Amino acid sequence: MAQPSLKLVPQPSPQSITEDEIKAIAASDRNRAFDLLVRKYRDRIYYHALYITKDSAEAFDVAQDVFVRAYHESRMFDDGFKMKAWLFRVCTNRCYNIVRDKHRRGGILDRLGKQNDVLREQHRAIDSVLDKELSREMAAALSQLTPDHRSILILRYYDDLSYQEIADTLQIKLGTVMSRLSRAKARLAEQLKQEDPDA
Amino acid sequence: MNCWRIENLIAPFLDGELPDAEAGAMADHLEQCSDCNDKVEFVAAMPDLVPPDLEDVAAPLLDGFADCLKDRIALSESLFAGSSVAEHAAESMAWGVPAAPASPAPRRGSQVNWMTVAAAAFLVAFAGWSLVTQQRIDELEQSLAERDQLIRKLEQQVVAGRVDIRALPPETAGADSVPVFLPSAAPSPQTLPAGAFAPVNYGMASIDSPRLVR
Repeated sequence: MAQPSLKLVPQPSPQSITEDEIKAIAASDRNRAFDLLVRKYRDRIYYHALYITKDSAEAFDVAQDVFVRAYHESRMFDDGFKMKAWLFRVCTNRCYNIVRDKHRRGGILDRLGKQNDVLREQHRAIDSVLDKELSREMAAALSQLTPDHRSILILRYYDDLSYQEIADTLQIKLGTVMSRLSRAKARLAEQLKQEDPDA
Repeated sequence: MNCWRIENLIAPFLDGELPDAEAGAMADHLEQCSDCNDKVEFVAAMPDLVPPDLEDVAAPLLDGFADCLKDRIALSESLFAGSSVAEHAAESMAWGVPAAPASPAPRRGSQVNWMTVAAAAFLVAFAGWSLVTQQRIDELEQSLAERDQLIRKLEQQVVAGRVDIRALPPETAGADSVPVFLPSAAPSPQTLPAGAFAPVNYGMASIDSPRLVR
């Protein structure tokens, strides 16, 4: 009598799983789908917040807030809903709100300081490496750009979003992405030239 | 392709994101237009924007991300306490843990059904209350109209001098008694001596009763 063969079905890794696959899982198990969503985009959303705020504690706070909002977003697993664009859009908006709100900065650091020394040390380590990794000239030039230009450059060259994904994230037309990105690059090149005329 | 158009396509041209036909047209223009060619070369000479390599140093922090997120969701649950959002959040708090017994979708459906039943019950109760109240109002209006008619009749008789009114203590008022709210300097009915007459008083008065004397 032939023994039934056991078939091992490989589980998709959180990074490689597609949004459609997550939506299919959400139809039967929303909790697992949300878990996969967090695992898939956790790092990218945190880094995106880090590139804008340049502060690990702030970035961590923003990333947490983005996923709490995602958790309560009823359309998150609907057909046609662009999860990645939604996450990056909410993250971008939150970051610029925080950058504008200077008072918040101290509050968060105080709260984190009281909460967890280990966490605070991790943030400090990341900030230290970030300072070394970012070219000073490039960071200074980026900071001189408008938020629109800075965020589109970060989305494209740091977060590696496609032009269409940027259009979905910023809710602008593809042609606008091309023109805004072109002007942003030209402006950045001018800034770099001003800061280092010999380059 | 004109110079203005070229300026708006520098980034996709350098990124290789332009369709072949458009990239070819742009390349043709750049061969003929030194101004545009200089602009493109200026941008192309800029150092690449490369994301900082933070994976190793950020890994411990991101490993604890899920636990912190659960705390945040619990906090959001308390902020939305009592709302349907809170119920949904409370149910889904076990995300990341093996399958929850019920998916949120049918729960949302049952919430909708419950709210529909509650709304219908409220409407029925309100309609019933309105009906009873309206009936009561109609009765009161009818009663007031009858009393107004009696008062007018009484006033006409008083004015004509055909009727004198003697105040009646409340306990002696009959079924056809009506309240008379005419101001009077006369003492209250209770202080009048039995059988005394008053021109007009307030209190209870009857028409066509033995107490009304021509």
